[in-house]
Amino acid sequence: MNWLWRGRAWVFGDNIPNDGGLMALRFVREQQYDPRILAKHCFAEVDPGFAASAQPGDFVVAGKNFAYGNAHVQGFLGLKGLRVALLAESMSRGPYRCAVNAGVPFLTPLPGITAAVSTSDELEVDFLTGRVSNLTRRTEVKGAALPPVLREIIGAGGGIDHMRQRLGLLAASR
Amino acid sequence: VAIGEIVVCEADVLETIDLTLPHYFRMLRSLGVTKLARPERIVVFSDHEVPAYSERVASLQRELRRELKELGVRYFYDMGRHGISHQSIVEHGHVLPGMLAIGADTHATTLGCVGALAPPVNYEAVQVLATGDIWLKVPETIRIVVTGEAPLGVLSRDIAQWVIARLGAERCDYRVLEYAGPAMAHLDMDARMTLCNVAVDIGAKSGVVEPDELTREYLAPRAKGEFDLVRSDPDAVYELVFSVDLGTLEPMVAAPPSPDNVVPVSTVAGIEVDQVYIGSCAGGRLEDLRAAAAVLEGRTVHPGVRMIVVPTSQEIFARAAREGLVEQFINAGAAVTAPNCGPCYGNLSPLAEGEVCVGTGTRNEPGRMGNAKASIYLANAATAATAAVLGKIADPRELMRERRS
Repeated sequence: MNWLWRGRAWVFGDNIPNDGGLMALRFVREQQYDPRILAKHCFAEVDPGFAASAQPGDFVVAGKNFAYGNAHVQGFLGLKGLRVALLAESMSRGPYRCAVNAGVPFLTPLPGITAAVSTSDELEVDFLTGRVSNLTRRTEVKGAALPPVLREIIGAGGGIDHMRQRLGLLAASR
Repeated sequence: VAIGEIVVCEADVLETIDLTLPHYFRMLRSLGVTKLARPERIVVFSDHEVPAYSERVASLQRELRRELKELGVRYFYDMGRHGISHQSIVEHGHVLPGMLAIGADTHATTLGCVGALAPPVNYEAVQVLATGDIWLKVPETIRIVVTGEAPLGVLSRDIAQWVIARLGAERCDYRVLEYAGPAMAHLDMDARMTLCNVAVDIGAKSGVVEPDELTREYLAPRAKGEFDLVRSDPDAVYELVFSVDLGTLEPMVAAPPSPDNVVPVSTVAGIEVDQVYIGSCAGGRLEDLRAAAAVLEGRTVHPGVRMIVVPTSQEIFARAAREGLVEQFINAGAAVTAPNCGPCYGNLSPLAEGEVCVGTGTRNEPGRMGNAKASIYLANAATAATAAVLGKIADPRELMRERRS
């Protein structure tokens, strides 16, 4: 997997909830897990134009406490379906695990990122070092890199694909 | 291991639910996984969609029963023997001190009530089913020392809400909240479940109550295996030690839009109410049902209000019936239903646009209980029952004092 990404920024504010912010709760009730379907509904209630306009390689730049609330995975599977990455000022444990499990590359915490980036700025992000370069403004923000164990899961495509790799390996070693 | 390190751990028990498990099994089948790592450690509850409310759900449940048999999962608490998973799994003695209990639903932190570490996961349960293990980040711990005695009108829900509000989300994120201190000896297992349950709503990884003699007595007739009262080392390092004097608390309400928006009940007094809900894994236990019934005794539900009572488990339902609480609810004009998660999930007794609910549910984000333009106030059961009688939010202590005199 390529860990150096270049793309446009989509900036969202602080305290965007998971249910009803990142993704409508109805997809949890319907138990929808298909990233291609969920991709079309990301941020529908916050920024209805986002899902249709975001390009693979783009970045969701989120504020503090992104995707708070019950840790439903559907919103993150939607981000995976769009093939975008996530840069968040802060994110609590539930969404943090969801991002890993869905296989969405992310950096958090990134204090000050929403002030350092505007929507449609061109960014270059190195997930191996945690460096975010704003190519439009010629500025840089440094965050913590993804821990290697989690990078391995995301690199495999998410928790399910990582499990498949592991089960394949386990079977081969017997 | 060191704090912040990421480790892969084997789960001692995996708690799963009817809503998601059939979909997880379908996912595993589609990947060609036909064997679970440790079927004997998997415990399954019907709680989100029980009784089945549609043919679609009924056929999913039929599929689930067949899969469980085929995969060799023997602990399945189906309709009639069920309860909300986080309550029933403890009642049935599956969770013991020192265990790593992985729960495939948000409020699984409840399982920490017996001194287990119980980090909740959701979709990741798919991997735990297949591999038996999970990655975890070694957390910091905040020790909460509880002292004093709760005054009139203060229930364990208030203690829990007050603690999370005082500590705040940034402080609690990814940390374990460990409850200890002299007052814990007077807080029964129900109260302990509530304390650990609400911990997740501030982002905590788990709530844990230091196990003691009360834990031993509670578990002795229930435990599915042998256990020791595993406690923190005396020289354990805490990120913070935080003291709570119960004597200083008052009934609290979490106003929209989040569970940590906690204010004293007087701040929101006078708000008119359409629905009152007593139930959920955060507030449908005996303590809650008794408090609500005590307020309702000799009174009736306001004509403008509908009230629904959902005991958290069959065990609690039976005790409530034995104590006459169920009859009190019915006489007051409330509906009582079998244990389930429905109202918190918006699929039982949902709210219409503009409606206001006061209840003991888990969360209060817009849309959580139906329409996104409905308002949800989380309160203790006495405050909720008071609102049912008066048709508006009010301090429950007035009605409780009248009852006493």
